[in-house]
Amino acid sequence: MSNGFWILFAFLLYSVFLLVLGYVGGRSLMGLKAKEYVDQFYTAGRGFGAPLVAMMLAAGLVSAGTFVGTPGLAYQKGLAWVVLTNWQNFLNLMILGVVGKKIGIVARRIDARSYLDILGSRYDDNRAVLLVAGISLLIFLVPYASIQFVGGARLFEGLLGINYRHALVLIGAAVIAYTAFGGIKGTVLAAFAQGVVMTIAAVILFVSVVVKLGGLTAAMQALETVNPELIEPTAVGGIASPQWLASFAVLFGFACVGVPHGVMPALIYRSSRAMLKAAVIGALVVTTWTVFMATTGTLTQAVNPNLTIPDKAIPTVMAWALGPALQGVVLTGVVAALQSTVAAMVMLMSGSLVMDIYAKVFKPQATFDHIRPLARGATLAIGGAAFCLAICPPRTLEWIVYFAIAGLESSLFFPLLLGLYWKRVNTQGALAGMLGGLVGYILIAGYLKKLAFGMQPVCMGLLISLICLIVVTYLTPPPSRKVLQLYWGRERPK
Amino acid sequence: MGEKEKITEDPRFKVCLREMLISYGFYFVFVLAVMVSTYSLGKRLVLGLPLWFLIAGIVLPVSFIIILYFVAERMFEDTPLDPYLEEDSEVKE
Repeated sequence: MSNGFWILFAFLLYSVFLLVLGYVGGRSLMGLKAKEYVDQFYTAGRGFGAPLVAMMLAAGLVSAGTFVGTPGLAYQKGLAWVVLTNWQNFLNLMILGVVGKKIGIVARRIDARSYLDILGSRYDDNRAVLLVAGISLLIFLVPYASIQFVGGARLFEGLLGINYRHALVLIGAAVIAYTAFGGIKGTVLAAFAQGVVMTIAAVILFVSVVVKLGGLTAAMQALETVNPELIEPTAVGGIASPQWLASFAVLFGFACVGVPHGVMPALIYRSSRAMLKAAVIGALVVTTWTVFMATTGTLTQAVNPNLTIPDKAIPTVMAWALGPALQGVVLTGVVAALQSTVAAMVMLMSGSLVMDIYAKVFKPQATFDHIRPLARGATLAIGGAAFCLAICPPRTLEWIVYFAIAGLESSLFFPLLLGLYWKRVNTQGALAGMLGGLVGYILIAGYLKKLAFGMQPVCMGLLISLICLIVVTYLTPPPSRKVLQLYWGRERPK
Repeated sequence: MGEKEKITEDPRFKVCLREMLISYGFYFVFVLAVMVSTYSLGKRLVLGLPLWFLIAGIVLPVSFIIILYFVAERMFEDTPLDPYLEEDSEVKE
């Protein structure tokens, strides 16, 4: 009883702290004119320094996945999953180093507020391109956002011993309120605070578990007794073949640029120096989280090898290893991760829906006063939809994370990357690449699993996307001079 | 392309392209190193961890963060992000 009280107390305290941060961020937007309001709401004036951008990038992408889902899979499959998840360590570099500088310059030319602004203006603001991109976002990001709620609810369920649905209501209320009234300024400030708390939480949990198991050697021997495959590189059941492991480097590294909520921070850094620092700091932070949390997941086998729901590994081991006050701190860290990811994604989706799809496709004349309540409404609606999906949770949320990232990358990676670095690619080619990747990925992941050839289906999805893009591009005329001038030229177009 | 005359390219975008290739190159070497050590080192316990895991899961990620720090210092340029280069900076070229 008193255990649950302290955990809950720590959580509430932290949530209030986040709401205040969001409020401070929100309040500074009140006095602005409508156009400035939209600019500020989505990119907060491009004034953020390195630590903030690094934390936002890392905290936005690393989430319920790293803190609940990956440890769950590492619990089920063994140490190989720690190595597999380590592919995400350099995601900051794979985004900022690959497209950050180019997007930074182009965004200032076209006054871009979102991922779709960059994509759209490269492809003549083509309605079909924007619609297909918007549809991809909704198909894959809503379930992804909902998984964050699942992760949070699992923790509350395990630690407080309450019903899953009650736990879900608790976490949903905090996340939605905070996101709807903060905007990105609040999100970035909060993400920074969260990043710090998450890092401390991950280290404390790992060290406590190892100490309680009697040191690393004893822990590994205990794992070997439970199931020797847990410490094999090929994982439990031999699932981690070399091509399987390597294909996840595509998912978490090479094709990261295809994940729109990951690219958002490229729109906000202040200078290229800040961006580089963000890539290095980000690598350090993400590596810390991944190694400590995922390894802790595998170690849970030595504590309780009989969990039927792998996602319960972290709550189980937390309740076993930590006292109530520390449980509160770690819980706070994990909930922080979920909140920041949901916030980043919901902001992105409402931004895309309102600014890019609604404004450009259906109402080119819409005024900013018109858009303002819509942006807030869309934020609430999408957050709500994600929440409703979380009512029936899967046993292992991580597979849905993989599904969502892979789907987005299959459809958006090549159109964005090649759009930025290859002059010849045109609107028709991009559209073909997006559709081909989207449909190809869904078919292979869902129905034609043999065609994935033992790899994560994202590889075939990307290949299909690339082929469609190149073929259609060469069959149709090159892009207009205006586009080339914006994305490559030196002079301001007249 | 309506008009035949070529556009003058912004030199900063050449830098962007080069840094994109460096980033991918760095990551590719990391992936290669981890793949090789994962499947070749065996599971003898060293410092309390199976050797393959110690190297592929911990030593290599940490080493590559240090390498990244130097790559970022030495091989990446500090580029102004202004939308268009001002007239006076043309002199430099």
